Amino acid sequence: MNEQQRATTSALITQVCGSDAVLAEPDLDLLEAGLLDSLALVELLVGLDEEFGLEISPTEVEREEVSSVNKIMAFVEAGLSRS
Amino acid sequence: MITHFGDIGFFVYLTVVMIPAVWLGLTQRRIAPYGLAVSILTIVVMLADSKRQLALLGMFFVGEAALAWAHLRFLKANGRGHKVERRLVIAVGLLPLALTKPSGLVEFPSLGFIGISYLTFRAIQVLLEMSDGLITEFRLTAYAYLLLFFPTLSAGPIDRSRRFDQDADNPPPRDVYQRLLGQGVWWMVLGAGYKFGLGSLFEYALADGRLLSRNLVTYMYGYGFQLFFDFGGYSLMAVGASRVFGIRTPLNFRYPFVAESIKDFWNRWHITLSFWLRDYVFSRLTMALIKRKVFKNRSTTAQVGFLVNMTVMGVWHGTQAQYILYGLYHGVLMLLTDLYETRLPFYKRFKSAMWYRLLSIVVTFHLVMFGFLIFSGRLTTA
Repeated sequence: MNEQQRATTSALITQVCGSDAVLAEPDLDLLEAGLLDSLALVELLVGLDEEFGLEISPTEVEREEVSSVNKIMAFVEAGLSRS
Repeated sequence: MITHFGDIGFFVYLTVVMIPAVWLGLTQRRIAPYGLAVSILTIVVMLADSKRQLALLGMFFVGEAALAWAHLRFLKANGRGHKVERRLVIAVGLLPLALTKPSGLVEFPSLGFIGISYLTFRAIQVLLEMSDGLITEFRLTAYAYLLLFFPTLSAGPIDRSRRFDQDADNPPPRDVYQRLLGQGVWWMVLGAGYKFGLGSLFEYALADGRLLSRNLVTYMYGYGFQLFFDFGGYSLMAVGASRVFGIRTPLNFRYPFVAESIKDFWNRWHITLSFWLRDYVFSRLTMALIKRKVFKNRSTTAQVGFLVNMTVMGVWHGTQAQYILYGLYHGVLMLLTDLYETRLPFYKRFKSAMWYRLLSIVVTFHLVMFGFLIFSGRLTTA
């Protein structure tokens, strides 16, 4: 994952969570904090499709797999390396 | 004839058929082949007096299995891009439910059989995840076990195939199975206490002329608790019996009456149904809406999603006015909750305060109870 892709993912996370502050706490549980609800998760998946062409269906990802900024980064990295 | 988790005969039968499962589990062998045989036997014993239901359930199984098999073959030959095929397959998969649930113009209630709503949703999940490329093989025995698994046959919980197969294919180590067994037995005892103790008590008090039936308010609370203890108790027994067979069927209830909002309530009440709808209706609908940029506004997308999702939830129970209204009621409550939580500074300021949380629990509890009153049909049929 290059810098550009990292920056794009960060921007996407900020947008769907509706908060810049999440980037400062990359291990914060976004589900518990109420920052990543069902719709935000869908927006994240649509965003990943639009930005990187990663087509992911809602049940392909377990919520726990993307429950923090770090986990989302790892998830995107794994997706990019597969594509 | 025995009734699924409903009479003493069933529990005697259950105890007997569980003994070999426990032995297989403790010796770390696969329980699944035995579990499938017991499931088929149970269905035959349960429906012995109703050859018609038995035949319909058999036809349902053969039809859905053939559909899943053909769908997967089509996807392998033609790729996953065919929207028309996908829609057609889902429509055919839903046919058993569509023919039996409506009341009105088109009505074939006599085609219904035990657990049809629950079994159909399991079949649809498999079809959708084949389209998504998440399920790439069709094994008839695994499919039969998922659909016909007897502890969850009559009223769920609605398990998911990939999770289910994982448990069915991999016998856990002895110590893990021992824990599952202990947990399973305890849940069955607790569930029986809920259903036959507290559930029956409320049912008794709700009967015509008795204490709770006399006015609408006492009926509302009584009915809400009766529904919880009856269905919650059944679900707990079903999940417990699943554990004995090494299957970690998900729990269906998690302290629903301390929910802090309607959204929170649906993470606690009939969880396997609400998560099924979240994953296969809400998420897919909102994804399509966002991709096609149908609404400019994020909130509008969410609100349309909530309304449609909850209406489907209502209709899934039946097309009588009480169920449709129940679905709409919850759809509107979800929509208002979303507006309230995103727009009001008041919420953001106080949401973590203890007094606010307690107040939210009390308000949510009453809104939920009113929903059950709609669901009961007393408002629409009186």
